Amino acid sequence: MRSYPILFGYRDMVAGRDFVAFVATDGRALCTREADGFWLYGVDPGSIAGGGESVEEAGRALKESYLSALFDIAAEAASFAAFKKEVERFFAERNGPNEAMWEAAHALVKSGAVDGDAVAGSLPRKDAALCPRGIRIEQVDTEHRDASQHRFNTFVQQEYAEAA
Amino acid sequence: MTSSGTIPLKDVWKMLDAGAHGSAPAERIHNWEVRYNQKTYYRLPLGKHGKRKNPAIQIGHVRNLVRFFEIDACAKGQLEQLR
Repeated sequence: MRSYPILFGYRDMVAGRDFVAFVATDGRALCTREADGFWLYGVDPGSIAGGGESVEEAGRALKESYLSALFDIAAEAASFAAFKKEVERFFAERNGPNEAMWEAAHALVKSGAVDGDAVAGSLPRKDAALCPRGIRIEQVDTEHRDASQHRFNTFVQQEYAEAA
Repeated sequence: MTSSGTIPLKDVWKMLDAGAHGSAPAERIHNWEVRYNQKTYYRLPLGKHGKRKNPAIQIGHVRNLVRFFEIDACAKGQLEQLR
C-alpha cells in the first residue's frame, strides 16, 4: 500500500465546564489507500484516525475524530487548566509505527518518486521543515465577548497539505 | 465507504485482553478511551449509530489503536481482519 505524508492545521473553539478554549493544532497524519478506501492515521496526535472513499472524505473523518477526542476531554475536565494539561498529553502521545511510515513516505516525496500521483496532486504541498508541529491552547476571555476573538486558519487555504 | 471493513467491538476487547493485558477502557460521550502502559488512546469510536452493545468498528480505527500500543504481533494473531 502506498502511503503519503500529510500535514494538517486545525483551529477550533471548544467549550467545557465554565471555560471556552481556543485550540490550534499543527500535526501530522499518514494517508494510506486501504482495501476499504483512504485512511488518515494520526502521527501526532497518534490516537486519531479517519477513513473515507476519497482523501477529502477521510480528511473530514479525521477532523471529526480529533474534535470528538477534544469534546470528550472537555466534558471530563474540571477546569481550563485540567483541559489544557490533558489536551497537551493527547497531542504529545505519538503513534510510533505511523511516524516511521510517515518519515519513509516523506523521503519518497522529497526524492520526487510520487510526482504525478493522484493523491499527491489533490493537496497543496508544504515544506515540512517550515511547518513546526505543536499545539497551542488558550483560554478565551468570556467576560469580554466580541468578534475579535474569531481566528482564521492561516495554515493553508485548506486544513491539509502534503509534506514536501 | 464500504461496510466490509469492520470488527465487532467484543473482538477488539478480546484482542486487547490478550495483547495489552491490563488495558482499561472507559466509555466517554463520543468514544471509548483506552489506557495501557501509561499511554491513552482517546478515540475508539462508540460505533456508527452511537452507544450499542457490540457495534462494528471500522478496521482503520482498530489498526491505528494496535499501532499506537505497538501490539501488532499479538493483534494479528487474534484478529484475522488485520492479517
